[in-house]
Amino acid sequence: MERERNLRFLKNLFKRFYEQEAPLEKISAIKYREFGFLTLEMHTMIRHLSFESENSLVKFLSEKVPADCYRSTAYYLNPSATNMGEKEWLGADLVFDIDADHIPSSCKKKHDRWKCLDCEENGYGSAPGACPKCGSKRIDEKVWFCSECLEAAKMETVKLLEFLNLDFGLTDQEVSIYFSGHRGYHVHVESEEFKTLDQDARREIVDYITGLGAEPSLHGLESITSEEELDKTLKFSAWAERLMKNGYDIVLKYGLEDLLRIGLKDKVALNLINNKEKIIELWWKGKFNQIVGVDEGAWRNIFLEAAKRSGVLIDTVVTADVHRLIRLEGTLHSKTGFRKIRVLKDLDSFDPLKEAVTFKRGEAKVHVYESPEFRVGDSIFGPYSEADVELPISAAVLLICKGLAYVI
Amino acid sequence: MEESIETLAKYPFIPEASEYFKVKTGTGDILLTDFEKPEFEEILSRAEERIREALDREEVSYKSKVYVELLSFPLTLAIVKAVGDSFLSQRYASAEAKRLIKLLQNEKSQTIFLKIANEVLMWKAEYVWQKAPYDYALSIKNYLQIAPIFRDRNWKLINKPVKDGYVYLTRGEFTRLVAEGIKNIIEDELEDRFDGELPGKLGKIVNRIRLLLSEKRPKVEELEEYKGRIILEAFPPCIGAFYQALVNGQHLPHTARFAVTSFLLNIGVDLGDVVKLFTGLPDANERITRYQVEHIAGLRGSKTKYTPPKCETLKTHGLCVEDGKFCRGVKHPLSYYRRSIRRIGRVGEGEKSEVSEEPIQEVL
Repeated sequence: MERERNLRFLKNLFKRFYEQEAPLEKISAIKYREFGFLTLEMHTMIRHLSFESENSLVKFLSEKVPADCYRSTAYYLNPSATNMGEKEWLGADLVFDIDADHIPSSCKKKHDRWKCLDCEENGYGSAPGACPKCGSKRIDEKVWFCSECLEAAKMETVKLLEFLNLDFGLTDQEVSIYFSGHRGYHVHVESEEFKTLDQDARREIVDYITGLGAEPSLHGLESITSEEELDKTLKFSAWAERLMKNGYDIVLKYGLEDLLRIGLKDKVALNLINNKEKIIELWWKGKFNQIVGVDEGAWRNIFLEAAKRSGVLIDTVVTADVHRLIRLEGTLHSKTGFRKIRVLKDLDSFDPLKEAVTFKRGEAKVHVYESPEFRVGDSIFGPYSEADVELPISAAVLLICKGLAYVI
Repeated sequence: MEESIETLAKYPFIPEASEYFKVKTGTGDILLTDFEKPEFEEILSRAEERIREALDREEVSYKSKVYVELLSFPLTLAIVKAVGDSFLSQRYASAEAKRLIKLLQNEKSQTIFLKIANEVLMWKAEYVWQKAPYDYALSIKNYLQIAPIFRDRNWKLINKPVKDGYVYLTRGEFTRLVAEGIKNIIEDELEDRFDGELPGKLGKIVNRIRLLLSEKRPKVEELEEYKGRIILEAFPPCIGAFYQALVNGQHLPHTARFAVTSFLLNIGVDLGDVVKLFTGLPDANERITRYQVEHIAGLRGSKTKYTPPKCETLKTHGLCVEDGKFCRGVKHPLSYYRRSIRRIGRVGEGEKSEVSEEPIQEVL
């Protein structure tokens, strides 16, 4: 009953949105893309669809009113063929997904919850590997998102953009940034350079960006002897530069405990701390490694740690997959009622909880089972527990979409 | 630029070489019967020799009779195509690549490197002598079309100097990439098989090569069919961990589910038993699970039976256990299983199926 009321409520709103706001930006090579949709009612996937134009797509959306809309990152000769062989793959955009879910942030302790499916024990924060009470490993998680974790996702996106620009030489025109409508960002690269790369090549790109398999000695940093040599190395290697910058940070900020954690021996770590100022002074002169008592092995550990800090927390599967379906830009996210929206101006000042808000007029009365404190636009709501409240429609929709409330 | 006949003989795949072939023989189309003429005798025998060298020494030599060297190359390709054997095609392509590496090592100027890279392989490559210690810059795209098959970590993109869309390479590294690129081109060319028998002398060469091949072809170890049983102690650490997680009803990421499912199906475990394994999971839905398992088994959709991801892929997705230190250099979970089955005295063989690593599409 409550579920049906929610469904009717959402369907009306979603329908009006697709009918009236014609929200779609131009989709490059639309005829060669596969489309897929999740239905609101059953949450089943309808896929292998194709459209001639944005107009016919919008018409479909207003008629069918899907919960979620997807399109292929790939280009196919026959996008509506039902198997991969017949689709005839022509290439695919390079896409990145950065999801707050994969990024450790302290706010998770405040808003994420877990519950043991066997003994009902529950708690806050990320789910433990096994239930602390009964030891069961069957654990259900309820995750939320807030300004803090979205900010962490944004910071990762900034790091990614630097890779795309500095290392891969991509221009702003080739890179589009989107807020996903839920917990993170999607970065789409449409460039002939990367279009036809296969899965193995894309995996190499993933490793490059996450920092996996970095071997500092192959960049020669720990054995560098002069400023000239350092400059030459940095001139042609964006990763060497990253290792140097983060290495500097590590020397500056890490205390004894941190240095031991990354594998330095007691004596070596103490030598490093005692000579910190000297090392910093010699750092960009390429002579940082000449301090007696800090050997090449120690520098290797420091640069390995630097590699870890330099990598970006992208979803590795998404980028390596050449047949991926990704949320269609401009459409609604059924877990929030927000939109996947393009970041047109400065990413730093982009506020997803404001700019992705879609439903802005009116209020709705809902019964909230339980919700943490949250923000939509400039207003803060909650926390609520078994409460009847009247909320601005965007906040009400968010709670309904999250399964935390029903319309009354 | 006009290339010397010697250059063409060394690098017979550059565009001018095929032009030369036409000019020298007076026509674009040589009739197969022309090869019966005595003036072609030497070329015929060099062509056969090129193939024999590939089979015997895995490397084609360079001989200084330039006309013979040049004209025998396209003829060799025709003979290998007529033999129509993929082991031979690969062996020959790789032996020509080794010949190329040797020849390039003796080149003094960068011109021929750039010619092969930019005009034969259609790469975006530049000579960057002023940027020592590097000699060449190659676009990331072209680098990634070749380098991922080299397994040394030295070749990982992350361990290379990369800036502004280019990878900086030493002359030795660039040579290796160019040779691999040419090997691929020759392999592609040889894919275009020649159906039917060649006449006369050519036909005899084909027969002799076939005979030689039957001796040279590596013997595939005959393994007894071993199917359907789960020998847990023979599982690679990664798959073993996923399997345990399933049995315990723990949550598993999509890629891990795909890996363990395709693994079990490939060692012959019954589809129904695989589906049952998933029913203990918190988000279990038997209908959807069955659909997905059938998809991986090749019973639905593209009808491709999937094999588990190779070790490199599992590493990328953070699913490899302790960086493979228990795996003694195997490259694929199924090879690990076959190897351990053999070791523990029972013979097993996973089904060889069409290799495909594409998991079922998932959406964001």
